[in-house]
Amino acid sequence: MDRRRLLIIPYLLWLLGLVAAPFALIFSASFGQKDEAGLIQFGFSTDAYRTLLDPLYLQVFARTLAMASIHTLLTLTAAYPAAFFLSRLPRKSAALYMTFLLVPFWTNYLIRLLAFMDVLRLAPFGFEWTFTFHGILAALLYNYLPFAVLPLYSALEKVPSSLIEAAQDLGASRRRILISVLWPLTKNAVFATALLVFIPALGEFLIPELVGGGRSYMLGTFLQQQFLTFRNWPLGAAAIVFLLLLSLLALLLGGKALAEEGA
Amino acid sequence: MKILQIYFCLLLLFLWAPLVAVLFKGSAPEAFVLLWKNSELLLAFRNSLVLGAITAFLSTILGLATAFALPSFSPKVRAWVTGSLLLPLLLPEIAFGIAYLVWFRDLGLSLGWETLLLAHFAFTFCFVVLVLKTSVARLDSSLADAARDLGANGLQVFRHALLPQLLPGILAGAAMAFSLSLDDFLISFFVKGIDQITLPIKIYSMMRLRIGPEIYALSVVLFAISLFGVLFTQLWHAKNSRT
Amino acid sequence: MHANGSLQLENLSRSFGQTGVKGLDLEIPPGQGFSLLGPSGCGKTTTLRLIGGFERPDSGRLLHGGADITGLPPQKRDIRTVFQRYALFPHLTVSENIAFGLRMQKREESALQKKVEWGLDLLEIGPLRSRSVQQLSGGEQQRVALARALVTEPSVLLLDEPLAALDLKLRERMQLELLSLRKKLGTTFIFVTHDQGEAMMLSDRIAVMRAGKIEQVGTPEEVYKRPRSRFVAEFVGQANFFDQGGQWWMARPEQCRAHSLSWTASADSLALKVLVTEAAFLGGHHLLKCRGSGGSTYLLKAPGHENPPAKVGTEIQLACERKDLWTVGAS
Repeated sequence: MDRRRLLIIPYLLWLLGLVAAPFALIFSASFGQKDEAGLIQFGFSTDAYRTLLDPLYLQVFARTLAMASIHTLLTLTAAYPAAFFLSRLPRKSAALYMTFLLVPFWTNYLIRLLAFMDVLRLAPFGFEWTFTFHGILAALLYNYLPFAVLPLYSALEKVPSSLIEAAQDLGASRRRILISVLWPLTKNAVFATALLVFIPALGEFLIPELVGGGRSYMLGTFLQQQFLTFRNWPLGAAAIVFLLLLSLLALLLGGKALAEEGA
Repeated sequence: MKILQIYFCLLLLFLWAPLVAVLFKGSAPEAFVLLWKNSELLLAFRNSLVLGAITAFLSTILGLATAFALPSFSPKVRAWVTGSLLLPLLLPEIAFGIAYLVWFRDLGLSLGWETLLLAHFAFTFCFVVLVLKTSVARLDSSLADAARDLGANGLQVFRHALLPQLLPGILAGAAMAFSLSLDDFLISFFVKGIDQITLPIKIYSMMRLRIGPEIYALSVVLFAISLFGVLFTQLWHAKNSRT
Repeated sequence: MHANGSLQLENLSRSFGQTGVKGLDLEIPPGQGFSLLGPSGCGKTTTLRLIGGFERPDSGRLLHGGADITGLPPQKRDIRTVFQRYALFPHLTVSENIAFGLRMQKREESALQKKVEWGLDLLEIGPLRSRSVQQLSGGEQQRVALARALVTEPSVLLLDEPLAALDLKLRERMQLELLSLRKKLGTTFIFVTHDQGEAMMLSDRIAVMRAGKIEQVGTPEEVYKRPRSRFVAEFVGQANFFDQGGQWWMARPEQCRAHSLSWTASADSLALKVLVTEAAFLGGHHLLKCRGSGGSTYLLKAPGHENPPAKVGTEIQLACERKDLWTVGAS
């Protein structure tokens, strides 16, 4: 037997001990009940799930979904033209501009957030953006934009300029070129990027709390409360199961797009 | 195209302006003095650096082992392994942070540096394997064969024929693991004990209470580190692509 | 919009650092086959792109049928381009590709389909209509690109090195087809090529270009038999040069004969003693490469059905009739 195969052991330990086991536990915890000691009393109870169906909590889910969806749309719309611009530049210039784009992204997450919040507090253009829903969206855009440009750039770069020129030659307006040439050739990348931007946003905790001032009650905040403050772990576990189901559903829907891009 | 260029520059402005403001505030000498005096913040910084280094080390070694093991399996197995490694990157981080919390508690572990390290290792491991997987796939086996032909044993083959080729990938993976660990807030937040304070955690608590100039000074330092990192990577790429 | 009329380039300039074109003046009457011929970097592709609208000139004007189209984008010109690598839309089938320009013109659906059929017929690619363009061979792709451009009935068609990617047999076939297409449709065809044989085959007139300028415009015969500069003489075909009293005279290899050393040249012949360095049989003719006493190279063609004129290593006399010589101006 090939001795190299033994080297896979670390991976197996990781997979079982740090992925499978924790989530299996979460799954079973969601069927448990809250214990006086603040821990989980395992059993089979659907209390947690039934509590989640309360409109109060459903609202949280809905709000989080709305936030993530709008944010995804916003970020993609902002990133696409930027990626297109980069894709028409010669490699070296594109790399240079890209570096400029990425340096803020490579800075520490909290520092970026701090910086953005400082700007928000200045209330530019007279708008009070902190503690608002749109403040959260702005902060999310600020955070995810460079990250979204990368995969879009990689797809757009593969569209040769001669295709665009051919479309122009045949009379296509700019809008037409976007719809009839660019979109069909890059839509898989767009869907894949959408997933990469949507799913993490579902679990966002920092931005809704710091920028939103906790006034926009999102799933992330809810989870933090259940696990750290109220210590209703079964309820939190049920919410995590929901979150994971949502994410997996999104992945399945966009799965084809992801597979075609990742290939 | 001109419009697009203006748009892009506006975008760059949007991304950079807040940062520049922070760097500006942080460049004041008083801020650095305060930073130097803020032992808590410096301790948190040190904690994060150490944690990051150990995480990077662990992830890289074990990630390299995994990357080496992979070619010995069938394409189907490899596809499943890659999929399982991608999954944590695609699912929300918060789910992992909480899952680790519950799991570690259930195992009876008390939350401390060990649990933090374990969690950091867990989420950086996948990144590193994915990076190293491509490096290993690109290995020119003829060098290893030549080394063996010339009498080298396993370890020597690794050191002389394989390691030089893998070095860029290893460094990239380690750098990635290090910066991910340094940057992590969410998972650390759930998995740490009362006493464990990493840099992001400390900054978070400062942001909730009082933002002093020392944070800005620290931002300058962190920014310099990441700037250096990015420039280094870009120059490295440029150098490599020329050969 | 059908502007049927000549295409006129007036003092057109466009520079790209060191390369580009400068002060181009050209008139191309409608329905002609016209080639822009020259080595790489001479500006022929730039000229084509200027006509197509993909580059804006730094100065000068472009007129079509009398109308100034210098400022018009490609969409608005009655000029179509066939790109060097065809630029077929990979996500569309053959018919959808062909229909593209018609859709942009917002033609009514049934008329559109009829036109697509016409295009498929014209280029004899009917059976390929539902295929994906990625499955097609180079020759097939080129036909689709041609059909796509021609169904929009432009008055001018630009072709960028159209036959460069095809193998010899296919190239010869396409040359004839392009000729017949042009005659049939009456569209002006403008080619960019670096192959002089192709230029001569496809065009009524050729513009030989060098370093951003036009050296000579003329029919294939004019350009071949009466080149106006040494560059044109050497680029369009092979040339032998003879220094006669400070002036350069040219004769083409087929105008030269090989004679033995004992042969005496008459007064109306020019003869030169040369050494045969290489000899090749190319089917239709023999080709001899010779070296003169001063070190210059001479080429000689003799009919293939005759015996080889001389062996390698022998000395011969290279002769041509003085009346066949053409003087080329100082280059």
